[in-house]
Amino acid sequence: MTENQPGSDDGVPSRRQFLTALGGTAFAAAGYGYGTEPSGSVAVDSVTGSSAHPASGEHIEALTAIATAVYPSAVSITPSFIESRVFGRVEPEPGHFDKLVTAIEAVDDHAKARFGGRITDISAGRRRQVLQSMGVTTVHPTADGTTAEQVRFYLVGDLLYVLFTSPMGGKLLGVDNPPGHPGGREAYKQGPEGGEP
Amino acid sequence: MTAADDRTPTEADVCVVGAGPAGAVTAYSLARRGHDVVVLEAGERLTPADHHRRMEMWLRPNFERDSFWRDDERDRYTTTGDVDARLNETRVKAVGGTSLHWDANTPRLHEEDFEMNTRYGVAQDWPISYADLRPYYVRAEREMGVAGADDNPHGPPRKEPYPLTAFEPSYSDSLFAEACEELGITMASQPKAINSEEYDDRSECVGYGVCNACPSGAKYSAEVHVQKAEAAGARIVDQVQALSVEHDRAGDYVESVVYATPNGRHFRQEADHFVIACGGIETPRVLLLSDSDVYPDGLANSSGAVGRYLMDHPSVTTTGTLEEPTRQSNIGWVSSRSDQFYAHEETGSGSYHLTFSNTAKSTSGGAQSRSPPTSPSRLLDIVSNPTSDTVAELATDPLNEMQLGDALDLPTTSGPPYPLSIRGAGEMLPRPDNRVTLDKSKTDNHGRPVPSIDLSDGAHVQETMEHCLSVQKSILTELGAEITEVETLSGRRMSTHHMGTTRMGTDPAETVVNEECRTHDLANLWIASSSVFTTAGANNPTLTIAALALKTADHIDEKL
Amino acid sequence: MLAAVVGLLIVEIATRTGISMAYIGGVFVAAAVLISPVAPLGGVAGLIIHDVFHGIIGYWTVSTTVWILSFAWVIVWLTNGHSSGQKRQGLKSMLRMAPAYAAVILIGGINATAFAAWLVMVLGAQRFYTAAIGFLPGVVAAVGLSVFGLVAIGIIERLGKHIGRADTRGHTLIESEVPGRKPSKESTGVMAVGVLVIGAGWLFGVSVLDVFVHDLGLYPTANEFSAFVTGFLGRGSPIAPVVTTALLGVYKYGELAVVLSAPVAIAALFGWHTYHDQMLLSTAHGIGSICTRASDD
Ligand SMILES: Cc1cc2nc3c(=O)[nH]c(=O)nc-3n(C[C@H](O)[C@H](O)[C@H](O)COP(=O)(O)OP(=O)(O)OC[C@H]3O[C@@H](n4cnc5c(N)ncnc54)[C@H](O)[C@@H]3O)c2cc1C
Ligand code: SF4
Repeated sequence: MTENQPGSDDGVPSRRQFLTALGGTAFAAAGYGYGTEPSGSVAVDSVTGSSAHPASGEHIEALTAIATAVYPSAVSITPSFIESRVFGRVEPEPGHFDKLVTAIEAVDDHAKARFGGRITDISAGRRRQVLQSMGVTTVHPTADGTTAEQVRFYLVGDLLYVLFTSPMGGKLLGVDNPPGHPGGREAYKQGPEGGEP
Repeated sequence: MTAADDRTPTEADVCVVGAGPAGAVTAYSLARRGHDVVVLEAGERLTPADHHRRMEMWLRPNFERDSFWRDDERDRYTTTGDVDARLNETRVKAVGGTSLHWDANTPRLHEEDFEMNTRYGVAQDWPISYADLRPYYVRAEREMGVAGADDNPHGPPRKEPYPLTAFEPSYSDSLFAEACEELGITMASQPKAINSEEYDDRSECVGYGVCNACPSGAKYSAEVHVQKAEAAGARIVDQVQALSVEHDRAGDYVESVVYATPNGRHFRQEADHFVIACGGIETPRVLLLSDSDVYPDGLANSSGAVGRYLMDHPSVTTTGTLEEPTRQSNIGWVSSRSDQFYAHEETGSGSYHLTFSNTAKSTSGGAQSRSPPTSPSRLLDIVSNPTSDTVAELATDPLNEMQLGDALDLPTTSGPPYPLSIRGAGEMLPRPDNRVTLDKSKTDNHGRPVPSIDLSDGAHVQETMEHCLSVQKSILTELGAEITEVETLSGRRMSTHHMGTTRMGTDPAETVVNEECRTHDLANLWIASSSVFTTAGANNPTLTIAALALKTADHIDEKL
Repeated sequence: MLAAVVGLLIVEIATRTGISMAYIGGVFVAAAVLISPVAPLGGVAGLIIHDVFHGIIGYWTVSTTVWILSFAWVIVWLTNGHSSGQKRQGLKSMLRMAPAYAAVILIGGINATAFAAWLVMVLGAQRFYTAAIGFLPGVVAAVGLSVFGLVAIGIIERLGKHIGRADTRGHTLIESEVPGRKPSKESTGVMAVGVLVIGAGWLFGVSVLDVFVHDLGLYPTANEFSAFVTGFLGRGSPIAPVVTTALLGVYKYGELAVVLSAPVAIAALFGWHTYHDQMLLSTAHGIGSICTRASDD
């Protein structure tokens, strides 16, 4: 499920609906110098002028697989969610995406070496074990730390960030329009009946 | 070399130091009238993409919110009073200044704030009245694009409509409203410089909910006036620190500002008039650093008041939970306030205003935070308060392992119970011992003493905020909420509003600037900042800063 | 050769079933005790072949290899690693031997874990303490399996004797001197205690230190950290400056201490060894025995 799909049933406007709802203002904003970034790479283009990122299809699949292990099972995601949310956002710091790709590869290699297959080929429970056995779950996220700390910082951190700034993650938190998601100005006015999914 | 990289001085009528709201509004107002304006700004210029980065920094616990602007060496400071200054969390040095982080709440000060001595026999009166500033408030609201409604029975008088319609109240406002009505407390819309509709070529608010780092441009920042000033011909020089302000032999006029470029070269910017707009802490610091034979205690400081009378807005918050949904954190800003307790007559002590939460849920904690295996604070917590639960937790999970999948540690639960909170910010009276001085034992990147901040609450603050806490409690109790957290004054940290450190008045022996915001001592030195506030009121300062800046620009224009 | 094939098989099965390599390492080490000191070589060979074959040589290969080898090596070292050629001891003595063996294996495990964890850290892969936690289950496995095996062998031997079968085996470690028994009883015991103390200090001390070093990384500068400490302790109490200085020491030099722990600990082990040289001389066929003896199973 991704809110990129029109008609998604989670009560969140699709990207298309979103742009329609905004009318021209998103682009007026971009013209002023800021940009609204609904979710896809198009809007990012208007901000950064480039949607180039270093991740291959394999990386995105691997990251999607890891996401299914990190996220609660109630959340179902697709590679396109990961691609647009993680790699489609403005790179938070130069080199961030490269480090993220390195982290994805480190996890995948570890899975291949010690869990008998690529991270995409093993079960979600196994994927959690991969992260645990790499020491990822008992360290701080640290940008310039050991491999495990970098996996925690770049990979797990990015996954959680995009989750909790999306309506899908918002559901887990009981927030329809979570901070970081430009979901308009309806949700805050709605009462429990009007707004709860 | 592009024009933006050229940091050498140019001919100028006016030199403005600082590109926050105060400096940017002044620069634009003068450039618009054809004057040559140069703005010297210590921080960097941000790109549109940077605003998206800032949003992520703001939301991600492990990205430092301030790392986009902070330079550890340049921004050192000392804090000595009871109140921790936490200075680098309460300001921004960049083109746009602290308005890059601000919440954009823009109430006016009240009439009585200008005449505290006459009305209540405390502090001093401003040399100008609310009526004097009123037309400038109107202009400032238009410049910044303030959305609001004339629905505040306890607010200051106003005739002209707000340029933008107010945001509608939130769902939780309706819960508060019931309780407040029972208690006879009136609520009103919170005026704010955020676009409720497209305005000034900027998008309407699209609900990112990260208003401290709004990426959409819906929230006003001083970048707006920086761009307008540039379009009107002003020159903005970024990444240059003003080191000192130099005067003529007699000490009657300022001749130049000495500044340093990133590659360490020093230049002298000359102009006919100089406006210091460096915020409430750096403004007095620049003056104190510019001491001379004529002004041994700091430039424009023959009164000795430079750096003194520092005020902030102490705040207290009461949080509670309800069994029914409170619909928090679906938007980033506050939509309702109450000025019921602004008048001293109401409280029997000082002024404060209340704001009602829309953001009582945090969505950026949980597994996203550093989850310290045995962080010093976690260990100390357990040692100092060893309940059987905490000890068992330490024994079974000493490393505080992060759970993945269904057991993922969420930043907040989807409830119940559902949180909500009331915040109150109050008035602090000017006291000479609350002050900014220079700490000669510590130096910045240019080897100059850093600012030292000494701020403590007096009895007035204590009484005022105690009243505020009791009102908060009564509202939440009326709501049927269970009170879960009370943030009192104890251990409080300095607020984001810094006022009073170059105060305005008619007496040159007691005050630093006159009613035009020109220094008593030097005929062409002006100050645009909340540092000129004679008293602080209990309302957010920036609209008043902008109004005063427009007024000051008019006075400078008259002289040019 | 055969051992390598068996090792490869075990490793392959383990990775496919997601069984931690620490447990497998523990099995290989137990094999050293129960079958032959050279058995782990086969396991390690199998591990390396597995990783090469799958094209995934990594820090895990290096560190696990080092862990298994140093683990077995310490055991051999402490048991003097030679075959005494004695007759088997029977169930009773097996049972008596078991605790001593358990102790030696534990000592080996502790030292090997510290060393391998250090290596993982130096290779930039993990923190010392997380790597150590990763290996420790393997130590438990090695101890458990060995004790279980010893008892089992004892019973089988007993039964074997009963039905009059001749003993055909002759190279396992259990045939060698049990530490603390026989000629060099005392010195080997002392030696072992020393190695235990050094290893345990290294492993647990550095783990705790590393956790702290890691946590203190939350404070970007020493100043901020010291502000936190003074904030908590206050300035008044007499112990405050002492504690503050100690914590600041950890903040400033903790990382370095963790990195230097291996050279220091190894130097200490050798120092300890040398100190006991004369006592050891009488019995030591030496550390080298594990390398010189050919595997024949
Ligand atoms: C989190 C937060 C929320 C806030 N919310 C609100 C709110 O809701 N409502 C409100 O009214 N106010 C709010 N404020 C306060 C508001 O941001 C400030 O009042 C306002 O920005 C002050 O404007 P200024 O131009 O005087 O100073 P600043 O915005 O601080 O700008 C000063 C500029 O001067 C530059 N400077 C300093 N020293 C030098 C030097 N030596 N040489 C060159 N340049 C120098 C700095 O780099 C900076 O860019 C908030 C502040 C924060 C931090
Ligand atoms: S809620 Fe509005 S003002 Fe706040 S961040 Fe979003 S768009 Fe900006």
